[in-house]
Amino acid sequence: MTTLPEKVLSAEGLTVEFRTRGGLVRVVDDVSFELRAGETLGVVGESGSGKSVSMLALLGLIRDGNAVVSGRVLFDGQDLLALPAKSMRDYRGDKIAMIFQDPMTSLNPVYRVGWQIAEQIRQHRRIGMRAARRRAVELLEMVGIPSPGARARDYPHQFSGGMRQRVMIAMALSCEPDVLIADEPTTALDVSVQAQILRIIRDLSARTGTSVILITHDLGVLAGIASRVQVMYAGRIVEQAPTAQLFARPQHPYTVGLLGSIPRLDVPRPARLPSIEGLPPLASDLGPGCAFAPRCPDAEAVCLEQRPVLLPSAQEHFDACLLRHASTPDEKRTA
Amino acid sequence: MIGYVVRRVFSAAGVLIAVSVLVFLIFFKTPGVDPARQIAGKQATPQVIAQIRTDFGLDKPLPEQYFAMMKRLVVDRDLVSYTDRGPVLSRVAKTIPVTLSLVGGAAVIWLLLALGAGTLAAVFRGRAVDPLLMGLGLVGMSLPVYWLGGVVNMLTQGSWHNSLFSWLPELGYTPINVNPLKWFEQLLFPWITLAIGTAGLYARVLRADLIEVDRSDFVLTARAKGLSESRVLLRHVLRNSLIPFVSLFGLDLGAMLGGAAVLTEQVFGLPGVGNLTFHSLSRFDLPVLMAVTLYGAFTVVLVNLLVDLGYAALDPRIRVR
Repeated sequence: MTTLPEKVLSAEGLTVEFRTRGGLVRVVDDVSFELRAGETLGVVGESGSGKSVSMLALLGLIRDGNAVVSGRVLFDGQDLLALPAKSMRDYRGDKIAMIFQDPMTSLNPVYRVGWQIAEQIRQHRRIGMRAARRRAVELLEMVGIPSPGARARDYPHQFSGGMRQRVMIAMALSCEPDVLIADEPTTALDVSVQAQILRIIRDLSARTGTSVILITHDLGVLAGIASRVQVMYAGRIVEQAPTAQLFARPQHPYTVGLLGSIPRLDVPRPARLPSIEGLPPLASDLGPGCAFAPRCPDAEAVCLEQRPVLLPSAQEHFDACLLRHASTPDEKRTA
Repeated sequence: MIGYVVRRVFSAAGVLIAVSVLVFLIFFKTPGVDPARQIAGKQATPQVIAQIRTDFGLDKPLPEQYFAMMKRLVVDRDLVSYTDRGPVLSRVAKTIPVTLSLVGGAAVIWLLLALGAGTLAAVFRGRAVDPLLMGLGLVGMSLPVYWLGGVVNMLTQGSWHNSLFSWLPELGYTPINVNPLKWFEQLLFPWITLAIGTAGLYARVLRADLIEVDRSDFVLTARAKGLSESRVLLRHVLRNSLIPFVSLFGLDLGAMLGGAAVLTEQVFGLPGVGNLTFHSLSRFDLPVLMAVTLYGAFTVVLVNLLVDLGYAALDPRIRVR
């Protein structure tokens, strides 16, 4: 890889904190990454690792009055977080679209699906209701909904979960966004439907040149679809690498543990499926050191005291493990 | 849809028959009630009472009496009151426009108040307006109507009647076709009194539903679509919050039109359905009581039917079959 494609979106030091009775709780901690044109970036982590919250923060969709979002989100030469609400809305749904985990509840139950898609188009394009509806039917056809003309007049409850997620995808892609954020789009679906939905996301984003951020807690989902993967733990990015390399040579003990706990058919079955001991820490009682240290099989005393940073271990491959960069952490610090 | 309405009308007829039987039985099985003695008056001799018992058919078996009464009420339409032998149906019919005027006008006021206050409180939740409006709502809910009405009367008809409220006519009811302005003026304070007691509850319910719907996934979707806050609120949140609001309204409206606004009617001297029920009850006047109860049951059933049809219009998941 000599020249990298240009980046479309980047986060710099994105931090999300919540004011609670016990003080500020940091759920997303200094997260920086970039998304390149046309790529699919996978974001993996357990529940509560800050994957969804960081993406909602990116779009200015955290509305909790006790939330404090800081850092920068650069898109189109603009810092989205610094924009007034009105200008932020013009990006949302137009240049950056998002689909959510549960298609059963993500569509408004009282409006026809065609209308809901048309509503988004009309929010961002100067176009009449009829033209918007026609476009909605085209989009439904594009995501593989049979007899889209008739189905556009149906209500969400008349669709199955997989079909509703297709509607969500059609809606998200309706303004041909530069970036599609898919937050666990297949988690709530049957296994047989998951692959179809992932294929639709992959094919359509390839066709329109849309970059995708795919959030999941399932590493297996990413194997066939993501070009790069970043692993999150307790609100921090702990490892970032091209997908193949992450699977072949995971660096961070947490990633190693995650990969180790995937059941495999190609090796003899162990007596028990390996798992990572313990539970992820609460965001409110993180120590000063590495967040994973209390559960880490390799942890040393230093891990509990010193905060690791993301450092390169190979081309395009970064991890935040103190022990792997024990020599001179400060000199190799990334930008 | 038409089949649904027809079936509902039939079930309504069933409800009305059941209510009439219940009213009839409760009346005759209440200890110490002897309609003949009631009709005859305090000084009546046993002979007079016996005479009346025969005249009114009160010596016949209960089922026979029931059918005779229902026949005079529904078929012959000439049922008369026990107390003064006046015609029952026209008496009830005269009270209906009064109650309709009172409850209809009050409903407009309380719905507007509740929609405004509930929405404002939900949008600005956690800020000063929210507890202020909700506190006012709670106060309104807690004020008993007879007390509030009494205070209103004291001010508007009493101490300030010669200054601030000199334009206000005496208490009572004037039909709208006789004098629309007087109709309005006489009903204005009854409307406000009835609305204040009701609006608070409605505003609180609406606020809670708005906040709950605002947290739902499809509202997040609406925001992710880039819609403006006002569009998210009006098109996506409010529309879904109206369903419990409408069901509450249906319950209250049906009951109030059927006579549950009796306290307001009493305080402001309005000769409405509630007032008539109260008087027929205190005089053991079964024919009037029967007619007015059946009318009340009918309005409850009718308004419930309308509410169910309204649901189907508001929420496509509810089908009328």
